[in-house]
Amino acid sequence: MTQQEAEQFLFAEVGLLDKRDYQGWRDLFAAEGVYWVPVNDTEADPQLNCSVIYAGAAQLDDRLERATSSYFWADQPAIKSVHTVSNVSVVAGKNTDEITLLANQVVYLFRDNDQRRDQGLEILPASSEYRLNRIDQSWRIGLKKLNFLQADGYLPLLPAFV
Amino acid sequence: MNRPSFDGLSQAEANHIQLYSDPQMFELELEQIFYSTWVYIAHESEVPEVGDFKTTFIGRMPVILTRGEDQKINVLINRCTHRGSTVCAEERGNRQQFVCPYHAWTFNLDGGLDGVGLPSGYNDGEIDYDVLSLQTVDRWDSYRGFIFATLSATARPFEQNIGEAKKYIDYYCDLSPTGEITVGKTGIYKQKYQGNWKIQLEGSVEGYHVWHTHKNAVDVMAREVPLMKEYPRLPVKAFDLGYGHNVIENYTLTDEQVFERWPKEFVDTLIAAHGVERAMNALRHRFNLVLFPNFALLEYHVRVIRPMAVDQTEVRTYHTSLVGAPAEMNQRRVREHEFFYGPAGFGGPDDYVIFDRIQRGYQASSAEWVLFNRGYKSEQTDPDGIRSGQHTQETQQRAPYYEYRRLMSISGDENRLAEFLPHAGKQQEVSG
Repeated sequence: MTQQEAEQFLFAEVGLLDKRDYQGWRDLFAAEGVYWVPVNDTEADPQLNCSVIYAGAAQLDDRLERATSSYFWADQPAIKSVHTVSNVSVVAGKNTDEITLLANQVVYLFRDNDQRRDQGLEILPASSEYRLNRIDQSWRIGLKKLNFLQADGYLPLLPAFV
Repeated sequence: MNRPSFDGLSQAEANHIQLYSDPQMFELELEQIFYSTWVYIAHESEVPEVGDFKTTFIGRMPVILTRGEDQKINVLINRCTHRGSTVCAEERGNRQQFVCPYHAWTFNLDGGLDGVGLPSGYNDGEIDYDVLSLQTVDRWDSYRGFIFATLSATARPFEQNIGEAKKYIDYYCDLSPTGEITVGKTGIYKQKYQGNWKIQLEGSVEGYHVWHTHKNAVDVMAREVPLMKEYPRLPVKAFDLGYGHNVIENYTLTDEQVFERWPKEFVDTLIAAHGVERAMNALRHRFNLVLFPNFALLEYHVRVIRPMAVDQTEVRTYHTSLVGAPAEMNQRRVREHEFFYGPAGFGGPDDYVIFDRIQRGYQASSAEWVLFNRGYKSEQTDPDGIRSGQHTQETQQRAPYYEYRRLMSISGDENRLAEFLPHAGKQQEVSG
């Protein structure tokens, strides 16, 4: 994967989140793919420690359902997002069908159309790690890990996927 | 403070919004509740080794909890006795001394003053090392590792205060084969909401909202625990345990259901460790326990409520793990906890957005009363004075305010609600 291909992949991936095309975003994951947002210590073992999100296929599907549910009160009014991606580097994997991407991200969240009118803009800088697997000629996400700078501080209420 | 009268603003079946929105009320609560009764500060598992420390707060007051050289716990006020800087900036860590960044006044783990910067500048009689130790909170006590402290010399004895709640803390800790748990070692969610602290106090034992607010979560949970679908109709109760403490039973499993919920090997391990009765009690009972004013114990976590301002509250969710339990059991506790709680969980965020909205609603000064009269008329009182009601009723929301009114020296005035709740205060006329 070239630098440019890596950047295009990441831009497209976060673009789906910003468009709230969650089905499209979920379809990027490999069958065994894991979506991980740690809390507190971002290096802690997720099998022994809680995360903000630690989702395999079943949990991704549950989240997809929640994302469009009328009972997702924390998303009313809807939380809009903008992601920017930078500092992308490509790390070769064990073989040509596996690759790791490292990137920094800033996630901006804003609850639009809120009666309170003074709702704040949430700014969430993060480092991120993606492990991609090539399956049938296209790259699928084996792991997306998003390490918020505020992982051990206050985090705002988040949309179903971030 | 020149105290206005708050009489009549808290009543058996309703609170006035002033309790939740008046900054003067909030200041009075700090003095008369948070600085006057027992508050939760930490769990012993957070400072296991000599030199371990954790900083936290009693009301607004910054405190440091340390494990001293003698293995004993010290509760210190985090304020240099010279010019007032905190002597410890971190949340947690391990060290032998706390050195003030301003003039190098140096305190040991017991709070004793070991030395000061440039001591020769003090003349004889200008500095007394014995008097200038960090202030200590001497009244603290613990039950099964949960540490509570009070700044008051006259608060009722700890044993009396924790009283009826012990039974539930036993159920909770006995789910561990060793009887020990860790608190916060396996994850802490740190959140704030723009609302009064009592909204979370009431909301920690809220049986009425579950089926509606948490429909997303219940739909998923019901796959593992089918009786969650029946939650509003379960034959379980909530209790006022006295002194403001209260508990809601979420479900109580039969022997058969215990074996559906838990692997047989785990049940056997617990029975071998604790005997049948203790083990089955631990496996059977799921509840949310509130200890007034700032502590809740829920299935997988300890919740600590910190009042920051009349309309601002921090809530920390300390995940608990069972010491000596099989790894898969603790892993399951991790997955099930993070499923519901935290800033992207399936349940917790919906509560916090509602708490924000409640505080905004309280700006409507024309609508004065916050109601919790549901089930008041059918509430039962047993011979020991324990009040109880059905779990989706509001006995548990009413419970804190008996103690609240006592501590705040507010008298109830039943007549103030007459327009609104024509039958207010007539509990005795209706048979349960």
